[in-house]
Amino acid sequence: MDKKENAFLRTLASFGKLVGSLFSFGKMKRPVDLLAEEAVMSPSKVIVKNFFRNKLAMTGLAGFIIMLSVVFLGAALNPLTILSTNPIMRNTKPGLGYTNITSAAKNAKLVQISNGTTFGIGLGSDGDVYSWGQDVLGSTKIPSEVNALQIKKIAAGDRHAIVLTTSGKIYGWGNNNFKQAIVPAEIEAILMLENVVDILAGDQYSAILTDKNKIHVWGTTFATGLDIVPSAFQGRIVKAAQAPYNIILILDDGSVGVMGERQTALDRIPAPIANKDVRIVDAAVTVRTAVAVDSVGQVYVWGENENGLLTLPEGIENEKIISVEAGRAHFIALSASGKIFTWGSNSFNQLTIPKGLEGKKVSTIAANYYQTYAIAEDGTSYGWGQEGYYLGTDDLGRDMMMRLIHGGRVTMTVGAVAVLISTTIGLLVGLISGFYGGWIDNILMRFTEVINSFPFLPMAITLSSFVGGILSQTERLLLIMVILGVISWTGLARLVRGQILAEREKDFVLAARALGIRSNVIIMRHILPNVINVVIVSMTLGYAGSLLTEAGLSFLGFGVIPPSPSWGNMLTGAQDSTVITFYWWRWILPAVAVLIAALTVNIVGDGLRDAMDPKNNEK
Amino acid sequence: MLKFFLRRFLSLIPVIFIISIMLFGIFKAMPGDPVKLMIPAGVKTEELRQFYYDTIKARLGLDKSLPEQYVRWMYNTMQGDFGVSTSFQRPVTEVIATPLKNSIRLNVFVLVFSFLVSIPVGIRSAVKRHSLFDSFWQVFSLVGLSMPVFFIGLIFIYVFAITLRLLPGGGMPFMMKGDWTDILAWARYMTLPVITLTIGSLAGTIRYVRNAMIEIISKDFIRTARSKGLSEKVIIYSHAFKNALIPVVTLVAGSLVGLFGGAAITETIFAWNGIGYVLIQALNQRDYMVVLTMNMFYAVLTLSANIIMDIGYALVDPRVKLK
Repeated sequence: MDKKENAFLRTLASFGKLVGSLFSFGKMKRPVDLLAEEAVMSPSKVIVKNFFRNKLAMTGLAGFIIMLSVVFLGAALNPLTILSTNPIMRNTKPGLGYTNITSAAKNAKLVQISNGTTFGIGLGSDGDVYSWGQDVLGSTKIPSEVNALQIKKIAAGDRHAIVLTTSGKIYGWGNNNFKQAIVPAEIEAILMLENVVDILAGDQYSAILTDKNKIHVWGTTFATGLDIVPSAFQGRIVKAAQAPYNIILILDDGSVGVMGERQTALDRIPAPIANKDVRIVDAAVTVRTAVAVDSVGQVYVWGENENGLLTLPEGIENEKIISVEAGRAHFIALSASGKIFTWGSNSFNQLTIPKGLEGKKVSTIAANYYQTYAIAEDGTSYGWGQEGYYLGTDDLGRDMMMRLIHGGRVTMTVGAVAVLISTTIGLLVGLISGFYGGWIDNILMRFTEVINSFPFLPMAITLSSFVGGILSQTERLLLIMVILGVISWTGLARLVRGQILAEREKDFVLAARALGIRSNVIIMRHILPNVINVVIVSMTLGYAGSLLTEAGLSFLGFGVIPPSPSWGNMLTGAQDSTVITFYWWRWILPAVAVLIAALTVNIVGDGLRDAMDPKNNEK
Repeated sequence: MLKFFLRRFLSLIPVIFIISIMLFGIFKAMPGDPVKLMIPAGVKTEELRQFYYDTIKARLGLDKSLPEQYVRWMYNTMQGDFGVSTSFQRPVTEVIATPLKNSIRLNVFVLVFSFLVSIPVGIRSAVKRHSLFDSFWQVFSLVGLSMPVFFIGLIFIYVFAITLRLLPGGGMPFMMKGDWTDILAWARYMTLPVITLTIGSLAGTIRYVRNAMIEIISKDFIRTARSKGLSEKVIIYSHAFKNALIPVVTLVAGSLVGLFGGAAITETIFAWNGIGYVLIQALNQRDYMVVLTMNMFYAVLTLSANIIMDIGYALVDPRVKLK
């Protein structure tokens, strides 16, 4: 451990030497013996030594480097698809374990599994319901009256769940914003005459199938028209498969009907099914792609061709398929011999069958959203697929971690470039004005005064709002860097000018002049190295400041604008009290990221300043 | 003294002149034609549109050449006529008056509180360097400097407005009765923004006072005072603090800009109808007259603060001669 630390310190020290040699501006490095080096040290070396001795500053530097590398490496390794929003996963809290079936559930020998976006529920052979995964709006909190009853069927929607008891009653829990978790009065009335045989739960809606071969849907049905069941189908339905905007119905003659949103790719039912050449026994839908299996085990797929959903896996044609299930972008099929086939999108490993399940005979399958479940014949249950988000999601269902990483890249780059611009201008103006004096100084200082009298934040907001909507994302980013740089150089210019005025009067400048060295050489080679320390400190502290400024600007909506993430604009929606109260990860995480970045930079800046202050070396 | 004032004011004139030209130029160079937006939506035919366009343009004086427009604008501005806000349909002075009052109301407290805390704390930290007290406030100011102000605000809203339900999380007091309960209402609405802004400004001011004090304490005359056997209290408060006041004056003068300038971010978070909030709203509605006036106002404010700073120097430091 010690050795490792030493090696680390040595690397740091050599890095420090490198930094030091950068700032000594081409001075000849003469080899010196050990004793002499202790006695005489160039100021830059003293500074570097002081700095690397300061534990706090080193911690800050290490923290900053870690943050920088996480942000830049992370962004390079995980390209951001800016528009990859996924509203169904909106405002998901941080946490994993979506498919971690609890041991209580495993011991109960599950017979049926159904899952929502972040959770799963299972029906044990004892008639009890078990839940696991991340709770969202109470979706895993099974009401106590349900626990007391014998349950026959279960169904989980995106954030709610409903169960059917052996006595034909329906109970629900979880998200109830469209009353999807409770049976409405008009359906209660229907249930006086009909008995429920199957239940279905989808995106904020629930449905029941009755013994009169009818389907009744409630919840959010306004946009999709799911509550309007075509009269050609009603009374002939034997099975149904849910999708976000549609329900696929298997009719008593073995044909297939589509209800819900009209004129979608789901209407392109394959000819053998449409011609009633085959009898369909099971079906499943992703969003716009459907799969069906007929009585002889033949599989049919139709609909939108995305994620390879229309390409059947190899070997499936040799097996007699008995059941199919669908997630948001993947399918799973179960054969009579207990083999399972998966195809479609594997973005969350929902196709990767776990090791423990290999070679086992599967009796039941389940899939929804981005998870897949299988129950083996021996009663053990397995779940795989999306495990969760380490840092949750935002209001559009985008992964917060990805956005933090990419937003950090944007924020840190904007800050750095802005500081570079402001330092360049400030240094130039300060140097020229300080060295030449006279009317040049007068004009430049008046100009500095003018720029300085524009208040920083209002001016930044004003300028960036003017360039507003007419630019592309990248151009806008560049412009914000320029704006921030162009209005924040005045302090440094004054500082440098003051330093130069002091240095200019010193003897070595006089000597250089007497030797006939040109004035621009004197500035660059003799005066600049003496003021560069001040500049570096001001750059570091200025960087911390511009991180905060960018965050503030973007927070107000005048900096980096979405969909490009930045730590500031990730907080834009956070003024809402709902967000502050319930979705803490959406405002605390980006704010803490800004805080840590600015803090580490400030610590480094303080350390540098302390190292350069000769008064500090006395202690 | 009087001569100095005169000279300083005279030197301001070219600066203000340049600022006004720059601001005017920025606003003229902006994309978009405000006149086109002002044509009533019902006007359909091309000729009628052109007629409206020309009429509005002439009424606003936009048909004149740029220098002419500038002179007219400057003339009006100097007479206190800042034009008419397009989004509020009222004179800019009227639009700005109430928010300005609100901002000052908020910032007076911030200024008082932050100096009440930062000066004693800064002095103590400097005197007891590396003590526990000093370390605590050093950490506080380091974190405070690195903390985005909206984060402080959001935390306060979360704790005091949402979790504890003690104070309103934003907005302005309304339904004024005109008695003592008004004060209570104002206090309730002002507490969180004032605390947020105070914490935000404390970080910088404590550091500033501390550094100024440390600089003074290490001077020779303090050593002399100590060797004379003066009590530590006299040394610190009479000898050292008087000298440390000079940089503090800079701070006070700098805060004046904040006093009248408002705080856009904090006011937005707490929905405080201050001047910063109005600026954001005006920008969102492309109300350029308001924005232009406010930027001009800010610039003049900063310049006046600089003069006040110079006077302040002369008042606290007899060595500084106003030439």
